[in-house]
Amino acid sequence: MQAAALRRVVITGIGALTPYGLGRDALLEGLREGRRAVAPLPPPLHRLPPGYGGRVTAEWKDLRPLPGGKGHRPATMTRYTFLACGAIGTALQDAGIDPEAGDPERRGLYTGSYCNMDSMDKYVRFAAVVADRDLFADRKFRIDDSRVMIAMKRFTGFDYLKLMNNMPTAHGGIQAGCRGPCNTFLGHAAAGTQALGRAFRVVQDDLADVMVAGGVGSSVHEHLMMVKGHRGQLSSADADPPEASRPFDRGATGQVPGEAGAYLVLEEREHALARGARIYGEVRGFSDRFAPPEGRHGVPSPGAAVRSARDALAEAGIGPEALDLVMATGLSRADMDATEARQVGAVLGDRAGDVEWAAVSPFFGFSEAATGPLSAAIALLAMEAGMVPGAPHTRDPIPEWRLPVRPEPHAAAVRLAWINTVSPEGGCASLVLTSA
Amino acid sequence: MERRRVVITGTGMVIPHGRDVEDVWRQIQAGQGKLHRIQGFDPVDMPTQIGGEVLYPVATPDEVGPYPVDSDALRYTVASAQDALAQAGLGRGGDPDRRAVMCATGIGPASLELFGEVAVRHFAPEDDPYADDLAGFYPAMQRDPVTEGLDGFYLDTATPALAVLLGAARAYNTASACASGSHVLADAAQAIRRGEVDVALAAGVCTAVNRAMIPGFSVLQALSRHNEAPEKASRPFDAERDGFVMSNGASALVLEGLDHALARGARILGELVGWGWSTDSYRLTDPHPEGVGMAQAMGRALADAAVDPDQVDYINAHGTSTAYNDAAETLAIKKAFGTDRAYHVPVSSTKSMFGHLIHAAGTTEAIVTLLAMRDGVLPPTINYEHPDPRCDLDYVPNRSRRADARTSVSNSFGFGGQNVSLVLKRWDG
Repeated sequence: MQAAALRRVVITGIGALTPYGLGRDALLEGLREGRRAVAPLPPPLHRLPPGYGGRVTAEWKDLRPLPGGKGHRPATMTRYTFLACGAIGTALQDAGIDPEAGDPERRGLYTGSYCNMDSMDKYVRFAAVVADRDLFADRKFRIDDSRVMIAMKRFTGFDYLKLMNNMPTAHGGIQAGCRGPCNTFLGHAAAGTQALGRAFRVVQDDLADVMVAGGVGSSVHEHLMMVKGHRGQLSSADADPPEASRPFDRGATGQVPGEAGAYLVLEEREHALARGARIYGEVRGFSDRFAPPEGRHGVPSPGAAVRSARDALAEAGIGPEALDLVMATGLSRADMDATEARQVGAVLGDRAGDVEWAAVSPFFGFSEAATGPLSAAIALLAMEAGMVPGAPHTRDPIPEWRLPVRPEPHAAAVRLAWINTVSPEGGCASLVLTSA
Repeated sequence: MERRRVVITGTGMVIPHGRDVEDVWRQIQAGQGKLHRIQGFDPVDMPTQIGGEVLYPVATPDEVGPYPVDSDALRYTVASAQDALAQAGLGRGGDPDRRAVMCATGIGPASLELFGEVAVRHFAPEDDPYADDLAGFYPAMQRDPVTEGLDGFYLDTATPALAVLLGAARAYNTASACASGSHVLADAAQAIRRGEVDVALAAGVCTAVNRAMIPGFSVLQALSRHNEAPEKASRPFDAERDGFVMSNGASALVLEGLDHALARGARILGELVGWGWSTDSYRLTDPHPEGVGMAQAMGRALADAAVDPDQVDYINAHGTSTAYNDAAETLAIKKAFGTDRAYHVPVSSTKSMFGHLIHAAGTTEAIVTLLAMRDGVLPPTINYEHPDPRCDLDYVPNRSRRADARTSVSNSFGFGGQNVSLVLKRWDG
């Protein structure tokens, strides 16, 4: 209803902290080489099946030179906040934005995140201390309230504060000097795309000129690995780690744990041009939906995701015939891959047989809410480099997957890309990007 | 082009005072606090031993769609949403793509019982749990049945459950700490104003009165330690305030496009005419001492509503009862409204009666603000006994006050520096 007044939103910065390293150049280089970053996990995670995953190896000291990086206090931050701060710093650097310059009131930050957890050991130990001793020997747990403050001696206030779900955004907002809209969207793969899409709306609606938006996720975490492994949703421990993540392949055995942070700098087009910013591309359409899974641990039917994608394409004013690249979620879980394949097929129709596609997961594993922003970053780099990373492990596609499979990185002209994120919990979001 | 107007047609809450919105409102008008020594567990030796709990049964279905309603958080959220939808006269039906749920849930991990089940399987009573690395038990735990429940630690099923209740195909969960409830209201209103949806259910829930969060936030020195007089512990703007009092509860509002509400003959409870976001970008635990971000949020909300400060009849303050917040909010009101006007606008903090509901604070306080305008009664700030020279506005001390309030502001400011202000109007038909 406000179409005539909408402002155009371009992307002027790409930030990433991935198993490839820190920043967009590391990401591009790794993709060009077709490098697989899934590897055996270090202790103690190596004991937890599947024993491998895509893990970020950068450290806090590596983040210090980044914009706003000197103020980090690791003791007050979780792994999720670390991933956010690294990706936000590189996004600012890439966009040429000084957090202490410009108008902070017109700058905001949106984050997508599944959760914000610390080490599970900490809570298990806390529980062991507060357990009623009379029942402990029988392996029954009841809290002895008189022991809670004994357990608390090991904790500081920041041990609690840092777990709040808005903390990656709060730290990131301080780092990026944002006094405009800041918020956190909680959810699985779709949450990072929702953060991008909602940030797109904020700039369209003239509530900010610059939005740093993206997502973080770490499923290389003992807690998530226990739950997902318990339900048989993780890949087989017998698989060859670098080749374990096999989206849309008959040989897929489950999702591969991964972690990453990825943020883009979204900017009002005239604002970007006025400061001479490099423009990677433009956000042209966004839509999200929700459909409950069928059964407690089932997956949603693809209808809502189809409508989400069609809405995003309609907003962009294009049909599937114009698409050059689909960035799929590709969880490498048979149930979700079949659902996504049906959705993508329904959206593309006759085009399904000749559209380029890729997914993040074969390279890094599944990084939850970072998936959408990483996919968007890869699409933008594909536009710039004229290169699509390919699908290295999809050798025997499931029948629902009709898109052509090319395993190696290869040259391709990409002008229009659809970022598709779907999740077992039912959230889904689509974003349409065009080249500069 | 004229902007689409956003109205409220349903409200529901489950807070320490009760579940019946009208009965809760009668208690609040009477200045009745409901904070007490914690009863859900024995807070012995804890620096803070007080809170606001839901000490009455909350009936809900056992499940909503595929989601079991198996926790207090789910029960409170589902109940408040059911009540809001009933008042609005809405159920499942209509076009799901034109319906949305925006929900603010969770404050972090609190599933101590689940971790306890893990702990007693791994340790012996005499073990020092800090002496051992836990890696050895990982593989066993992955096979243990207790692991099935561990996703309750992070997985939000309140938002999806509400989407099932409303029949909504759009749903998301956001977190901006204590600003979350107002954030979801603003997000919902923005989606309606943009024309993305016709109906939105905005809800918040907090169940942080537990053995993990009460001592944790106490260590942060955020909570009151007036344990000797729980009913007097939450004392916003009073010189002897020493922190907030954490409470459990949930609340929900149904928002609609005015055109949609009128077309279906809905009873309109009020209008959300403007909203403003800002961020302090200052510190994680403290607001900007000059209230810069808070003032920006209020200023943006007033500008968005096209309301002049002189037109505002009441401010429902964030008013947490912490030293920093209340002083900074006072300064911020002066900045946003101008000093002269600030001294003439009644400001009250209803947290003095129901405590701080964290993610549900903004939604609950928006409902109270609507009721205040409807009945022309401004709720008091109770426990206001000792004036603080840094807090020198009219805080409607201790007794409610009759006033012809047509336009009000409701403030919510969060840890991490995220601020949201709402401008609400009475519905006069």
